[in-house]
Amino acid sequence: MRAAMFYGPNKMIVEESSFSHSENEATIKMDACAVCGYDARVFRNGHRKVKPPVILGHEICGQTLQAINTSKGVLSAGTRVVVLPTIPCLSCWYCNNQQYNLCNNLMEIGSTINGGFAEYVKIPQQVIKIGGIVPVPENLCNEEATLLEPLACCLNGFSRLGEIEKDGVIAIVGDGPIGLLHLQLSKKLYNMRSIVIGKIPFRMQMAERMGADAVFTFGNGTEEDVSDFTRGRGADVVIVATSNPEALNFATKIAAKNSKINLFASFSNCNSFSPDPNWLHYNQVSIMGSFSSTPLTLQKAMKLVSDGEIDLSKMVTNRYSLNEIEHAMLATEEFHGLRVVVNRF
Amino acid sequence: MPENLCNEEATLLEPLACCLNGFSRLGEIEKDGVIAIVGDGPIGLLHLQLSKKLYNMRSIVIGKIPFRMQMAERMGADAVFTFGNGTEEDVSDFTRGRGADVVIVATSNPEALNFATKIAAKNSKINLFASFSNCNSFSPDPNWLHYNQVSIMGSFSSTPLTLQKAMKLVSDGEIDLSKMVTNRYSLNEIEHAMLATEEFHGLRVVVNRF
Ligand SMILES: [Zn+2]
Ligand SMILES: [Zn+2]
Repeated sequence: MRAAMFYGPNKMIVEESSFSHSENEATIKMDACAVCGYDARVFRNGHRKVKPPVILGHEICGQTLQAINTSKGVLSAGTRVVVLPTIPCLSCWYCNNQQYNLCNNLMEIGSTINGGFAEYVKIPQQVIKIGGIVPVPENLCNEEATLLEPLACCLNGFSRLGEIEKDGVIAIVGDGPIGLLHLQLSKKLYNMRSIVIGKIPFRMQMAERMGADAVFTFGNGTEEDVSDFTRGRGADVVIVATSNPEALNFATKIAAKNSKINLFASFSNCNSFSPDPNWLHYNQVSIMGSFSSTPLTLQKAMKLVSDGEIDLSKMVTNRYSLNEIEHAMLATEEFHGLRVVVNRF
Repeated sequence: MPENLCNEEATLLEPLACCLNGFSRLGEIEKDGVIAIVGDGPIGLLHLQLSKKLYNMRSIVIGKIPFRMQMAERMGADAVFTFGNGTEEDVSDFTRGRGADVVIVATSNPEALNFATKIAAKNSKINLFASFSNCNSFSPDPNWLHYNQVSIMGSFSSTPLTLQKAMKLVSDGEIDLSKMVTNRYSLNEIEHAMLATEEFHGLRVVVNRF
C-alpha cells in the first residue's frame, strides 16, 4: 500500500509499504485523514512518544474492509467509520475504570503505531472492544467526519470542568479548528457568552461567523479587552487551545474568581509557568488538563453532529492528496484556512 | 445550635464548613478512591473525618507531629506517614504505584505544594486549602497536567450553605468534634493560646473565658 512514512524530523517519504492483515485487527481503507497540529509538530520536531519509522495521522475516516463484530452489532464490510485513536491495554487500573485515555500502557494510532496517512490502517482489537469504531451517517462527508475525533477531545475537556457557571463567560485562547470546535460546543451545549482570542485574521472572521460574542487579537491589550467585556470580572472558563506557551500565564490573567482553566493543548516550551498558589487559593481557581478522548465522547460527538447540533461543514478548508503530504503539513503549521485534510491516497 | 454540642466543639463548625466548601470544589470524586491529606492539624483531621464519612475514601494523612499522627490513626486514617524523604514512596506503595485521586494541601508549608504533585494520580484533583507565606518555587508542569488530566484548584473560606451543612453533620453525629479541642485558655492568656497554636500543641486551642 502507499503510505507517508515518517523517518524523523522533516523527513516524510511517500512510498510503497508492506501491509498484511491479521485476525486480531480490523482493516480500514482510508477515505480521509485530517492533519492535526500534533502531526505538524511531530513532522518538524519529532516527539518523545514517536519512534520512527511510523505513519502519522489519527483523525481518521474510512471504510471497513471486512465485517467487524462490535458490542453494538456487526458492522458490514464497506461501512464508513471513524476511529478512536487511543489503544488501551484493558488490564491496568485506568482501563478497568473505563478511563482508557489515561491507560498506563497507552498506545496511539498515528503516534506509536501506524496511522491514517496511508491507503489502509489497521485497528487493534482493543479499540473495537471498547466501542472505538463508530459508523458515520450518510449526511456527513468524509472530510467532515475526520473532525469527529478532535470534537470528541473537546467534549472530554468540557466533561472535566465540573459544574459550569450558568450564563457564564468562556474565553477560548486559540483560533484554530480546536478553538472553533470549543466555540461551537460552548454556544450549543452551555449557552455561554464566548470570547475567541486569536491571531489569524481568517480564523478570527470564522469565529465571528460561528457565533463568537467577541473576538480579540492576542496581544498587549487583550487582558483589558477581556476585562472590559466581562465588566472587570474575567472569564468563568478559560480554554487554552494553542501550543503557544505565552497563553499559559495569559490564561491566569483573564480568569475570574471560581473559574476553571483547561490546558487542552500540550506545550513544547513552558518553563515559566508558575501560577501563584495563594491566588488559586483565595480565588478558588482550578487549573486542569484534558487529554484525548474516550469511546463515550466519540459517540457523543457523532450524535451531536448527526443531529445537526454541531456543524463541521466549514471546518475543512484545504484538501491534499497523499503525495502532497508535505504541503499539507506546511499548510497546517502556517495556519492556512482551518483544518487541512488528506483525502486522496 | 443544638444542646448536645459544647461551646468549644461548636467553634470547630466554621473550619468544618471551610472543609466542606473545599470538597464541593472537587467535582466528581473517584468511587473508592484514595485521598491524601497533607497536614495533620485540626484542618487535616476534619478532612479525614469527612473523607471517611461522606465519601468512604481510603484516607492517608501525612504529618510531622507524633500526637497528631496518633489522633489521625484513632480517627480512622487508613495510613499515616511522616512527611519526609521517603513519603512519595510510601504513598506510591500504599496506592500500588497509582498515587492519590485527591490530594488536600492542609498545611502552610510551601514544600507541600510540589510534594502534592508528586503523589497525585492521573485524573486527580489537588486542592490548595491553605495559603502560603513563601511559595515562589511552585511551577507545575503544564504538560503533566494535560497528559494526566490533573486539576490543581483552590478553596477559600465557607458559605452559609456549608456552615449549615456542617451543623447538620455534627448534630446528626456524623462528624465528631469532641476530640478536636485539646487546649483551653482565658482571654488573658491569649498570647499563650497563640503560642500553643504555632507550636502545634495538641489539636485546636480555644479561648473560653472572657
Ligand atoms: Zn488530533
Ligand atoms: Zn490500560
